[in-house]
Amino acid sequence: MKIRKNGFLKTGEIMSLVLATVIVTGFFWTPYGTTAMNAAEKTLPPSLHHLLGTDNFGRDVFSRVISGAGTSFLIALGVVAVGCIGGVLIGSLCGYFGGIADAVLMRVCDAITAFPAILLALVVVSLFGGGMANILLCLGLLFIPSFARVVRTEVARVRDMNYIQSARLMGVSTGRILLRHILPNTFPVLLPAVTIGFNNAVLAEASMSFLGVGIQPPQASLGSMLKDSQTYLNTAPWYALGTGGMIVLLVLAVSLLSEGIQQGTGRGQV
Amino acid sequence: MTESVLEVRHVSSYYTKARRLSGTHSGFGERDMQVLRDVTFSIQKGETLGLVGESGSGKTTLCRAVLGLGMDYEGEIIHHTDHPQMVFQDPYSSLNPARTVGWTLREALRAGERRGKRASRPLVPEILGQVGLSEEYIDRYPYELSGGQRQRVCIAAAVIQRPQLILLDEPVSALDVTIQAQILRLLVRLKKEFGLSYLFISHDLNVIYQICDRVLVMKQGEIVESGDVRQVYEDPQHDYTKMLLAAVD
Repeated sequence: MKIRKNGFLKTGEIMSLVLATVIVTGFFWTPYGTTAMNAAEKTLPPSLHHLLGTDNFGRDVFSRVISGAGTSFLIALGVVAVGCIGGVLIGSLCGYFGGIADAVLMRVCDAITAFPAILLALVVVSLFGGGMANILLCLGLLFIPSFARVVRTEVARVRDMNYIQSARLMGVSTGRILLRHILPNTFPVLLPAVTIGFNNAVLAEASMSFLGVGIQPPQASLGSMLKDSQTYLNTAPWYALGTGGMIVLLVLAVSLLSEGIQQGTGRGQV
Repeated sequence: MTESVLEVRHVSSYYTKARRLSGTHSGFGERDMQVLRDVTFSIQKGETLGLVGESGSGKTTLCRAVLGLGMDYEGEIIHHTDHPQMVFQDPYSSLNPARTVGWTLREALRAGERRGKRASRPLVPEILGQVGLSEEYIDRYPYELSGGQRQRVCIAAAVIQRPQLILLDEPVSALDVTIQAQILRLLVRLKKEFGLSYLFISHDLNVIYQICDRVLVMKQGEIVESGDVRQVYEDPQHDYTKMLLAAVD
């Protein structure tokens, strides 16, 4: 697949690259320890020592934002991976073979989509407990329908194309037709779906942690930090702004990528 | 006595009401519609058989039945050769837009090898040369090609497995006249070179006249006239054939 260069794509690429570098660095090194408290430096405003100031425990907000972004990033990545793999599997089989299984599975997807993902995730997590793995799996499963739907539509469209008929006449096996002939044609819609899914996952994780059913302290995630920070909105506004700003940056970078891909593959103009 | 590569005996086919819960095949309301009526013909080795008729006369349906592309039919279709190939009318939906020319041709070779046709088959650059395209087209995507170039690639993909029979469903109808002539010349040359037989479908009697040995005239799913192309052209028997010919002049 070829993607034409455009402004959205370029900006998105640069932003994503910078953010990814910062986040990956954050896995190994942050300016201060993310849980290192310092009673002498409580709620300091931003300075050269603490780029985003400190919180109520004297922890460096910048370090915590980076590490929190890392947690959110990993969860979002995992959620999209689970959702995408599951969705591609279900969507391509449904789209290619059709029939009753297709009809039933798509109605199940409709039913899941009808509920807000976060609501379902809240129920599941409050039943089975929080923690990274549970959130990841739960959100991932809930994200499957959105991927299944776009893949199914594309596969059903491409299935009857002449070039697929030709491939059948040439004796290409059904599995190979699906994987190597049809699936690459779904990328122009799958890639934007992945990026949009990534953003939704970042927001879903942040919402859950904000509501207190997501990542538990002392591990930092953007959502849980946002929850902590609201108590100190008056004394340490940089805490909330820094955390919220990171969420915005993360979502914006990937949105730009998504827009760039859609425009670059000629699917942006509707 | 020549041997036949394909025999079609008393084939009838109907469009039935859509039975699928979901899918793209739609029926024509409640009533079954007959699209092929007792069609019988055969194609001899090395022959180009023309099939002419207006749109909706069942030409493409017949093609799909012959190739086993999901058409239910009554009657017998006997293949005396392996794996006939097909070239479609619309060169824009006949090549995978996500794949390069080289990939498509290599895939055809690979699929052929799975069928055990390993012996003496041409390589991708050679087959491109055969259809009049240079090696640099290997890395091109379909959207970088013109309609005529795409049709050449489709023809290359069809002959690369060395089939004995190729079905051509209006292969030049979507092309402009000068390109049409080039493609027709190419088809004639490839036929000699590879010992191919063609079933050549067209609504254009001029094209049929240029390339075919024999011709079948089809009307509403029925073969109303058949015979040597010159004879049918000069002395048509059926009113429908006369009408088609009159439309040409």
